[in-house]
Amino acid sequence: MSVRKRTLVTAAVFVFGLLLAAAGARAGENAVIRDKGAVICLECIGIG
Amino acid sequence: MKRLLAQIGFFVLHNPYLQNFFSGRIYDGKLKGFCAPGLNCYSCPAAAFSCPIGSLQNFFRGTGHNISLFVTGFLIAMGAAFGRFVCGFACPMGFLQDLIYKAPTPKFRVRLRKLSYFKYIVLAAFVIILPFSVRDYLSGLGYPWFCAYICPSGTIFGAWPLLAANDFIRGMLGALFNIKTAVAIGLITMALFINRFFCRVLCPLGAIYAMFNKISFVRINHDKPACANCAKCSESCNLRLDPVKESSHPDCMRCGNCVRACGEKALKYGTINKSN
Repeated sequence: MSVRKRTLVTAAVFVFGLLLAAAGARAGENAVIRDKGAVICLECIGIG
Repeated sequence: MKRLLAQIGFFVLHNPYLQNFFSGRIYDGKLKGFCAPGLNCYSCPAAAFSCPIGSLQNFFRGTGHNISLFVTGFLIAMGAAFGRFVCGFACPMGFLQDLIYKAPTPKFRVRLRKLSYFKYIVLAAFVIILPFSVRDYLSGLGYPWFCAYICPSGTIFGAWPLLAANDFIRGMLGALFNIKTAVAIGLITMALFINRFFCRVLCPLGAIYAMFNKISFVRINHDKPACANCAKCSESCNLRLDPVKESSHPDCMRCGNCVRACGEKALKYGTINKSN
């Protein structure tokens, strides 16, 4: 595959990722993890 | 040296609230709504951002819609742009393992051919399938299998500092903490002898970025006419890869050992070009 085509594939995947993330953000998603109301992942630190 | 500085910089970028290591508090501001590029525990007192794997798993185990467009999109964009360059330069867990590997112990520079596929099983089973399918009867929530049983980042950057500084959390630690501590000590021991053992065999974030290594924009390029075929590059590779033939191998974390070892400057950091 030519350099141009490979660059286009990578750019398309990158833009797809950005659009997906933007769609998620628009839908109100974020990355916060809540455990029993607190901003913490209890199992991550060995509680649970 | 440049890579070391980059790793220190990214460690501080992931964990800017260093004072929380002493106060035993966890940052819970707005930045936690965003993902960090590397594996850095959400419950680390100093962490500013969310761990992408913890967040992804949290959606799979939740009772709402199970696929996070936000986190998935972020990982796809990061993968397409950088691939495993993130592992080599930006990941705090990778940085820690690099520091441990500097200890003067015998080194086993092994290829881990088949074992390196295990990280894809960890991603599929412990991050997606088990948290989604095994659920609590009453709450309907799944269990964070990867974070609870495998991830050493939570133990090293989260549990151990909190254990030292927060009396309330110290009182709550139980059997799971003992399991996690045993796993973390086992992985630290492996890191003394085998370069990036956790990243190569167990890390689900590494598995995701590995899938993008062949198409990632940032990469290591090989200039064939300049190459003297001296094999210094493959001798310098801690993962036993051959950078001439495998510069986009899924396990290559773009650490740059081969780039530095090449006297002919035939290997260089770059973007997509004719040579790859």
